[in-house]
Amino acid sequence: MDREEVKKRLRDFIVTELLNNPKYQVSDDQPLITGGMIDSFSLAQVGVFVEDAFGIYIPDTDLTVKKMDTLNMMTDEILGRAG
Amino acid sequence: MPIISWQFGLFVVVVLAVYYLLPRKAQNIWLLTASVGYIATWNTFSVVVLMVTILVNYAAGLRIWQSSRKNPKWLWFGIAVNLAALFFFRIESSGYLEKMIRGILHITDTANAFELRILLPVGFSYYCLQAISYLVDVSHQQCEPEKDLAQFSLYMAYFPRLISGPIERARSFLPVIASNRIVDNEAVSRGFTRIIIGLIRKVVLAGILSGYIAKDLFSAPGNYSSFDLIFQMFLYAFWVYNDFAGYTSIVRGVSDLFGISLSANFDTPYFAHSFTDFWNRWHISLSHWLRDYIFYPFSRFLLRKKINPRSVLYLALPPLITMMVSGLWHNFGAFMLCWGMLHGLFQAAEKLMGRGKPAIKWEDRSLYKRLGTILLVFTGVVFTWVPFASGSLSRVAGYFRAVFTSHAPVQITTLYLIPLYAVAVNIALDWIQYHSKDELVFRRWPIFIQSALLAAALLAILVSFLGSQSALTNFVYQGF
Repeated sequence: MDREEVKKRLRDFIVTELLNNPKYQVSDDQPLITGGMIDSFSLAQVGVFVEDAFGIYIPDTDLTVKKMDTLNMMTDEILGRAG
Repeated sequence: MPIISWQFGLFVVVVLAVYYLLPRKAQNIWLLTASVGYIATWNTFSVVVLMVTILVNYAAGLRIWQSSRKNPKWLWFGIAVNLAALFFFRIESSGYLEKMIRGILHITDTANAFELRILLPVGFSYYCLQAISYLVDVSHQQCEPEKDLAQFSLYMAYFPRLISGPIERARSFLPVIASNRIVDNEAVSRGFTRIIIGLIRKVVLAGILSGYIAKDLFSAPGNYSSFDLIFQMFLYAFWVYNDFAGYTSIVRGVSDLFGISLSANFDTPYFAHSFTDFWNRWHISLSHWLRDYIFYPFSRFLLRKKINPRSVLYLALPPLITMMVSGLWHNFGAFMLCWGMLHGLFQAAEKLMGRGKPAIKWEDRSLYKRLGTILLVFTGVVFTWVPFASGSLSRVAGYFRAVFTSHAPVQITTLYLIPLYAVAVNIALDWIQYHSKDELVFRRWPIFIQSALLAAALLAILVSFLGSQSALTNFVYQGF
């Protein structure tokens, strides 16, 4: 799985579906949860999006600020589970 | 043995003195012995319940690991046993069972009444949730089952967190128990700072505030003016916060002295910018447990069923159910269900109002909007404390009726300045922690300021402790 491709699909999903602003520029290390942009409602959506888009299950206990606060962290989590 | 007592202080000193002399394996056995001894100081019934719970969950964990993931019968068995016990103790300690049996047997003579009620075993509702999360995580292969019975027992019974949490996860706590602990100057400094902050919150701030909240606020609200009723609820909000945050800070500090870090339970909750944010700052170990084991599974279930994430169903049902469970976990009363529903509805309402609107970074909002949002959320939270504090729905109704109809004279006096000072100190303390994003920021201040603060803190704690000792021994959340 290509890192940039994973990040691009995640970014598109986040700005369109979660932030409701397709033109918004999300940087790779921008804190999304601690920055008040997304919350647990959105993280549940990210979890199901990752299942559908990449066939990877992120357990509920890993949908946390420690593991999913930025685009880079989310990408690491997906790639780490892809093996 | 209450946490705020000289006996507990002496107990910790003795346990620590022996602990430091022992190798790691013996340290665990010693901590377990001390934990069982500690719970025995409350009552032996609690020891028996704890032992049985440990054995059942230890065996269930091993069974779950051995059985196929496709046949999680042992997981459901373990969850069912824990929930059934929690349900029974909740019903029983609330007095419902006694009432029911009295009704069935037509016993109306209270003079010859028999006593059926037993207390909720100490800490049960907290370590019961730890057990459930352990079983689920083992089933999902998030962690391996603990084969060492002593280590598993310590995970469940560790005395600093036994009475009222924090609720720890096996995944992070078991490795700490299994590894060598380092108690260096840094850990000791961290521990004592937490203990001092905890004592300031519990003994000084909560101690002062509790003296200004009328005992009959809910039983005779008509005695108070609308202003007094509302003002005292604001005081209650700061009291309950300092009471529980104080307890957590003390036990985390004590645990630091053993080289074992406990999870944070509070993060300046009254600076929350939404109700969802509030629950990431208040009783964090419980709210994250509820999020991981109820909110997420239910939300993801709805999404997998292709429920529109912007629909009322998706935005309202998961928070409502999660918060109602939270309410019932606190107490099996309609008033706590009402408290949970209010929090669930507030979360749903803010999501529904923001539906489809572009998200804006918190820092990009104007100062007025940020302050206004924080005040609005805080006021909403104070509103929800009414059912939490009242003890029954009829009292909630009586309180709000009095707020709108009371003709009692306003009792405001200069005496109200004292709790307001306590509130101001609370806000200042929280602001410093919030602004620095470090609850122990004081340790980075110049040494002469630290010394002055420490002297003032110790004096305030001593004066408060001597002045109102009887009101300080129990914690609100101890009752849950």
